[in-house]
Amino acid sequence: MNQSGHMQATADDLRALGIGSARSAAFDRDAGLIFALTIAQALALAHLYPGQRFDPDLLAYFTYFRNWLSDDRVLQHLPYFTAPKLLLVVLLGPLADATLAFYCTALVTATLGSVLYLLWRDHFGRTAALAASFFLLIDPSRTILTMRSGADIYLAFLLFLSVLLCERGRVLAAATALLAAALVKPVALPCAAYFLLPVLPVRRRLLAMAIPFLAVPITLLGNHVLLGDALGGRQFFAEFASMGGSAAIGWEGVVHYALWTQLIKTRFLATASFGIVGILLWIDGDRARLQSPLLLMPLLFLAGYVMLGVVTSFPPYFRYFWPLEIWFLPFVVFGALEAARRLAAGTRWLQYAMAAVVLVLLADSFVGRFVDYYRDYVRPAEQAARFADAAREILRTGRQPGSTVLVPLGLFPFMMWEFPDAAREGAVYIAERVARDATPLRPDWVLHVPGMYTDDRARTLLSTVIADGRLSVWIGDERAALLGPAGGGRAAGAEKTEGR
Amino acid sequence: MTTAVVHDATAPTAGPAALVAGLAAGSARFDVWVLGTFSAGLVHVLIFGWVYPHHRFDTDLMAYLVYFRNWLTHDPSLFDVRYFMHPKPLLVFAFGPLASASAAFYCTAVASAGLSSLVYVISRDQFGRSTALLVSAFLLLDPSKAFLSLKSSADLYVALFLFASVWLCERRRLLPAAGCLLLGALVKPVMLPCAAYFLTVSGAGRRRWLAAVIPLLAVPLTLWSNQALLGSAHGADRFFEEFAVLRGGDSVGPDSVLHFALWTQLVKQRFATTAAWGMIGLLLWLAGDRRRLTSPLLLMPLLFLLGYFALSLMSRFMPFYRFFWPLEVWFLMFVVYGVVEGARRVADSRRWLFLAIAGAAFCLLADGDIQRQLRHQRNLIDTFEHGMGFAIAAEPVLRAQRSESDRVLAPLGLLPYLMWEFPDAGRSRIDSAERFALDGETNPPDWILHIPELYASDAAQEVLPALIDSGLYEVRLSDGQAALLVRTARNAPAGRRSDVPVATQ
Repeated sequence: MNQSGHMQATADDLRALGIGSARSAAFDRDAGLIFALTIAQALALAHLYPGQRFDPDLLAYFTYFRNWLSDDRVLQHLPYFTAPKLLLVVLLGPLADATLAFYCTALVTATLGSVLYLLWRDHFGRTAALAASFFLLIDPSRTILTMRSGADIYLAFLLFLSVLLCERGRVLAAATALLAAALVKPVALPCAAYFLLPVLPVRRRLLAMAIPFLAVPITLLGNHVLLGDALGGRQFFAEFASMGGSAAIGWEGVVHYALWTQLIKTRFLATASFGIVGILLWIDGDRARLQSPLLLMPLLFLAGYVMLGVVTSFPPYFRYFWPLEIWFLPFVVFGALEAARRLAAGTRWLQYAMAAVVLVLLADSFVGRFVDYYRDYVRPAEQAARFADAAREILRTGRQPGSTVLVPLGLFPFMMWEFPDAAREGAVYIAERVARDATPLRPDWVLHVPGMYTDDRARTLLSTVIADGRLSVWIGDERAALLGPAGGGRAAGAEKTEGR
Repeated sequence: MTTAVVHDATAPTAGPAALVAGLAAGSARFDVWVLGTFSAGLVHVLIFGWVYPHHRFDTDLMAYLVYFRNWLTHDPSLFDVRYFMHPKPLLVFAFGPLASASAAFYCTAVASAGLSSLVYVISRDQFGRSTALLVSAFLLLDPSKAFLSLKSSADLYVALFLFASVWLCERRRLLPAAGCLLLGALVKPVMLPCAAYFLTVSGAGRRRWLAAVIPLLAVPLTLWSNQALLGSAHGADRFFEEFAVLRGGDSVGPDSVLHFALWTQLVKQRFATTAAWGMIGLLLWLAGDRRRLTSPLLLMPLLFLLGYFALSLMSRFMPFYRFFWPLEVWFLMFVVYGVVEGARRVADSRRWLFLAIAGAAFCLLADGDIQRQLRHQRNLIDTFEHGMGFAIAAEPVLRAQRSESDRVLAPLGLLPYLMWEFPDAGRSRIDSAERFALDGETNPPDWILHIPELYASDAAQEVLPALIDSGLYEVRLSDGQAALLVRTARNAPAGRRSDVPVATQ
């Protein structure tokens, strides 16, 4: 085979895999529309729920960055703190403002919407892509991750950006996106194995493969700088689980949890079978898609969590596997639309009716989940944020140097960010940890938010602290109270708070 | 797809022999699978009966036996009770003479196997043999069927008569179908609206009017039965509300029956992962022939649901999943058909694709059944099996040591069993713990059959342990979880008590 023939074959191979097939060079107005809609939705929700943006993880990134700048090493001696995500510490940390971070995240999530639309349009057609984009827009996980500047939204963005770039033949750019993703969470690293597929020239393959692994030394260096130890932070998972956080799972439970428990039995309970139909039909349309980045990268991403499970057990949260949810979503929509088309065999009303059945069930699950989220997470977090805001001012003025503060685990980063002096004095204690270790502590201040404790031992401890009458309520309502030295503050709400 | 067997509307009705043979003969040839599904259904129920031997002493069944014995002996003790299990006339007068829970169970096992065959035949005629066999297999996997059979449940008989009626209607045997509906309505009057189907049959002349009237005979028969068993034609009306009060649960009215039966039960619970396939199956089936919009397989189950809606107009009731189980069986046929036919058309002759799609959907359907079986096992089956086992063990102790005037307190679910075993005690000497807790009674009973997991209300769960902890009682029999207790400050013949070994807690 001559040179041009070889190049032609390679180009064909790439196209067969979806790589290098920039199907639409022209600007797609729908992608712009989705971007605008997503931004508008994020801003509207942030206006409705302004307290969401003060996420503990985000405040932890701020704290890491500020402490690094000021050479404050207090975090290096803590038995537990939120694990640092290096890219977000460096990217959001300098902003030092949750609102600015939210705007940044809103842009990222809107771009993610457009990236996914383009990806889906190329594979499933415009109708399916628009329908899937609509479902992404009403996905409560995405909106909450956006409002909280969740690491998983950045991870999903970088992962799917990498998939899109692979499909457009920008392999090195894709590898760079993967590097950025691995700097958010190293679980994205196995996705680099995709570049081993023998359809690219060897040198580009090796280079693309190597780029994401730069995340390893960078992360070790970052850990060393932020935590004082290149391998620091590993104990955080176990410490978190022992304080009553979610039970940790090992590598053997990861695939079952992510694919069966989360995707099939929870997120897409009524429609998962159509997702499977969608995958089967998509592969059946062209067997070369078995090597498509749209199929392989998300699976390799899951393999990353399996590997993490090998290294250390970790508490699984649904948000960890949210990128897999949005990977599965278009297959559900495509499966429903394509199955309806084939089943109806030209009968239009039948096609619409069958597609509507599946899509209505899908929408119902999203709406139901939003209602659950609002009840279980959004409203309590809003209330906690409002309370923390009010408590901050009182603590600033009323707290004496050296006096100790007991807080729920979820408010620990807030205290570390807002009260660096107290943090340096080692005066901030986590209620769940104190309860677990039965530490003989008589706190001077207590931030009591019953809905935030991650285990019953902490609730019992706080009931004891409140019952001994040493502290009085400075501010409080039915859901939370700031207790401080007796004689200060006001008793409003005390009768409602005490004894809970 | 196998199309429905077409029947000539003008054909003369065949004799009873042809009717019996017809079940086994969808085509001219004998269908061995009818026998196969019957045998499998029978063996399945008998195995469950062997594994769970105490389930046959179901509360409702024991109540039927008590009703019938009281009727025979002119005992009016149930005439003025505030609550007792609702009498189902057909089951009272069919099982009552048997006077044995085991005999009733064997009867029901045969009925359950008959239902399996009926469902197979109806599915075969409508959807083809492969689909029908899959429907039968999933029906066999359905834990509700197994446990409704074990308990000789009224809802199993309702399903049997409903599907027998559907099958007979499809064969244009309107009068036997009406007879089945009459029997069904004598179990539960909610079947009465199904008679409206006969008015939609074309070309049946006067027979359709006669068929529509026959099920209505259930009304006077039920009123007579109520008069005989409860002393008043409308004597059972108060039981619904009283039951809701005792259970402390929510009852449903006309605004929520359809939502509960179709959305909550079928879509969100029973077929949580596969309901969409059922709807697709229904749409494909209707699209195949628009005349199916008036098919008994579509209309009768919907009219049956209308019966529950009508019931809720008259009286609010607590909805149990088993009430709508016939709808589950009906929808199962469409789920399986939707999967098989859907996969076939989507795969477009590619075998691996057909097998993969159908396999995925059937795995989810089977997983749903297995999960439900495990939940049933944990929440209901083990609980009742243990509670009933203890009650059976306590019965000889109670028989030996209880004086005639002693008052016994037991969970509501054991009331009929105790009344059956101690006819001399009558209604006045046996009380439900739920009623005792609700009324806030202060007069302590002489005996307490304390089986915590069987209490049907939170009030009883709280009051009874407190009463037992008061120190008034001593344990006569216990297995560590349940106990038979006697009040210590009473004069009981000591010699009689020592006849029975005392188990320690």
